[in-house]
Amino acid sequence: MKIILFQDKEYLKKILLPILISIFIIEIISNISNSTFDNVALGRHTSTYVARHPNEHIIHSTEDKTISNYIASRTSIIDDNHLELSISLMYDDWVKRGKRDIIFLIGNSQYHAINQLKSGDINTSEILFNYFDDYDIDFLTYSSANMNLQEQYLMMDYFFDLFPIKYFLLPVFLDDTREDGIRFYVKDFLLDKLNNENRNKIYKKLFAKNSDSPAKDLEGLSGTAQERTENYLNKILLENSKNWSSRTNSRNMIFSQFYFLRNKIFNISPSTARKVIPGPYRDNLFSLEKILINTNVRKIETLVYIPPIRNDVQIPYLVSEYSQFKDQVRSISIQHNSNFINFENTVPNEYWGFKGQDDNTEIDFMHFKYQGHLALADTLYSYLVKKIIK
Amino acid sequence: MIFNSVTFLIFIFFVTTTYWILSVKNRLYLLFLCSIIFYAFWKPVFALLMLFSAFIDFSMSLLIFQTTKKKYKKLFLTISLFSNLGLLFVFKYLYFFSNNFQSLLELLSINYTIPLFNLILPLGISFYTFQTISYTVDVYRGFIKPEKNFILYGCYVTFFPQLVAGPILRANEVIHQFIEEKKFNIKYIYIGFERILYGLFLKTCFADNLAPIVDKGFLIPVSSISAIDVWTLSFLFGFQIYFDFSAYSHIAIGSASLMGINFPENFNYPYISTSFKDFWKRWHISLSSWIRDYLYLPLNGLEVQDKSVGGLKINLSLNSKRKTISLFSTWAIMGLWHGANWTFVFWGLYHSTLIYLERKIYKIFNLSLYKNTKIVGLVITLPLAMLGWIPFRADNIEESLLMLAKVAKISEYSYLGMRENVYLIAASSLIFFFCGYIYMQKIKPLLIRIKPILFEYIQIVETTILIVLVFIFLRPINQFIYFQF
Repeated sequence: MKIILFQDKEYLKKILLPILISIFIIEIISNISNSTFDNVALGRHTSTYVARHPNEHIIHSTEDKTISNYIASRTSIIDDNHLELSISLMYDDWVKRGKRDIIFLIGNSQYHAINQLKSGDINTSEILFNYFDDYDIDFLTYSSANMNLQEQYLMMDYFFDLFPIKYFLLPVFLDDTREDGIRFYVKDFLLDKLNNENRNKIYKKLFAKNSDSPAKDLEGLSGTAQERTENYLNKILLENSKNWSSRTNSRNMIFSQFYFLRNKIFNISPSTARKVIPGPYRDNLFSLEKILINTNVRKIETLVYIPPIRNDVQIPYLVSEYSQFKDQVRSISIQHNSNFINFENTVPNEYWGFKGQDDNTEIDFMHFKYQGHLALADTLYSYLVKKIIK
Repeated sequence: MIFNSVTFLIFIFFVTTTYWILSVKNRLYLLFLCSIIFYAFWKPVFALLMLFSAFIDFSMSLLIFQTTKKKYKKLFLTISLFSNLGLLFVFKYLYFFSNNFQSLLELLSINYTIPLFNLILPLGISFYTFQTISYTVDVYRGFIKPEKNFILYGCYVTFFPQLVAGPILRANEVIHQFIEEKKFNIKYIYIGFERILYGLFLKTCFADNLAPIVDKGFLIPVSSISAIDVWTLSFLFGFQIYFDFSAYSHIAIGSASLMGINFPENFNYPYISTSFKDFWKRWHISLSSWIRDYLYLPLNGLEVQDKSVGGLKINLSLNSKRKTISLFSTWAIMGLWHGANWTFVFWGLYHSTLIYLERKIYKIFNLSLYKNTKIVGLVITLPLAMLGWIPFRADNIEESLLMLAKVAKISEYSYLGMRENVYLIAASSLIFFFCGYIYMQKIKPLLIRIKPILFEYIQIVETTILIVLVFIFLRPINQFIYFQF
């Protein structure tokens, strides 16, 4: 056999050498890839912060390797794959606090990300929770990166059933109207919870659009006899090979590199103008209407607002489209008896940060520093106090 | 068993090692047994159906050969065809035709409910049915002598690399290879390893990553997308299906190669075709060749061939109604072969229309339009072939027509309905395809000729990159598209 195997060393070399080199490369890639794609997109020094209660401050950061240990706080939930647990924690604590009245905010990463986070910094959600704690009111938040209005409609339909919400806050971002479809964990979570037959057709329509779910590793084998062997082999590999178990991170790292390469080639920066995409835009504004119809039926007072945006530089939208967007959101809100305010200038320019600390040229249009969170919280507080606290 | 899985990699390692240890006779038993196991990894019970189908053809072929009377030969051939096509009809088309017949009755206001049987489609039934039909017909035509050894014949039908999605092989191409005295040669392993690796790379890195983008694109209501989006989606799906199916063929050819068995190529860069005739010589070659020899040429009363290469590049003049009818009916049947849905028939007719028009143009200008202007041919053929994937991928005819109608309207070119990345990915796929073609077909042969040492280093780097990427991306998240056919 030995003689046969070595009959042509050239071919053997062509097989074995790449295998040996690739083992070495895979080892390196596994060691350097430890971030999720979303965290990379957020920016190296923009941190995810989950509002906490009681005084338990834990910071999410892309550089914090314990990120996967986080789920959510008791007052604020950020997007994750553990919605079930997060919401039950939020609900249990609300019960423990005596089922107080609720002000509920649903938003995107603006409500949990802080630029150039420093020790002791907290976000809008936590500031407002603390403010309203004195009035025996719970300020609860559900925020999810780039959450579109279709997802917000579904999640709010669930939260409206779960909590007796007294006041509802809905910041509407033009950026998020470019998003489409329902995230897999939102869909999975709601499918378990909702009796779809009792819901209107929009559920089916929205769920049917969902194709966002990252395919599970063994999805193609579903229902086949091979599923068992592949599950078994995969389990063994995951338990015994660090390189195998870090493949998801390695894939994320590769996609991130493509993302950066794209930005470099096309000179894409946070200030690059993003155009409205007609289909998702229409569907998202339709969902906004559905949310407001829902709040009307449930008699929940609502504030729809245009969230803060950095305005000392060119905004990342076409000015005409942004104006039209604001007009449309305003018109829909008024049409459905909701309050509408434009808060786009609420956060002063100096309170906006950068996506990275080392490279201060990468302006962040979506997130701000702690001072920005404080400014927004104060503005919302002033408004809400007048509305709620008599 | 799905190729893009750890199970398969272990399976192929075991089969290859054992194969070269055993004697020729025992190798045959090994391949037959392993092929049944390979199939049973999907749904064990359907392995019996496949063996039943194979046994019918095995018996009928022997009877055809033994009898001297033509009418009995015809009878046995009919039994074979009837059983093969019958099984295919029951499992693949019964629901479709019942459903359509029900709709027809409703249209005629006839109040009768037809029972609908929505059966599980046995994996690879369209492929092994065509393969067994070709065997019986070849025996009937006198091209081959039937095998008396069922295991050897069984290997031909069930040989695992080509079992579920081809290439559709001819008996005279492969049967003799199963019983050839072959000695182990590391070259077999090297060729097989390279082909499998390349196939896995195309499947896991390209086809599987294009799949969610295409799926999402086709879920967008047609009213929300522009003509540019339709073009983009057609190109994206065109590349997804090409990377997916050619990946399967690479792995099939590579797996057979590990055992020193040669399969004919199934793809030859179809998207560089300079005419539709050329396209059908390059796309799914074994199916086109099958259609040519068992449907198209017999319908035209022309001489057939006994090889699974060449595809549908046939020089026919457009001089009779018979040829026109056979052209359209052949492509409609080929479309229907892909799936029980009118969209596939539409796809077939779309291609036959283009071939028909192409022939007309040839005739009118009395020369080959693209003979000296290959680039013009490419520029015309590529987008139109890609656009043909719209009915193939769309859910129904109505959606297909709406999408195709968008392409014809100037006003639909004024906006974009998808994220910018989608267009970028479509453009990147196009660039990857052409760069791949230039590298494989032009640069590689040149390097081998003038800088063989440098080429060896390049090859080692290339293989290393592929191994790393396949390791990272290997996930059985999607079956191969052609499994559903």
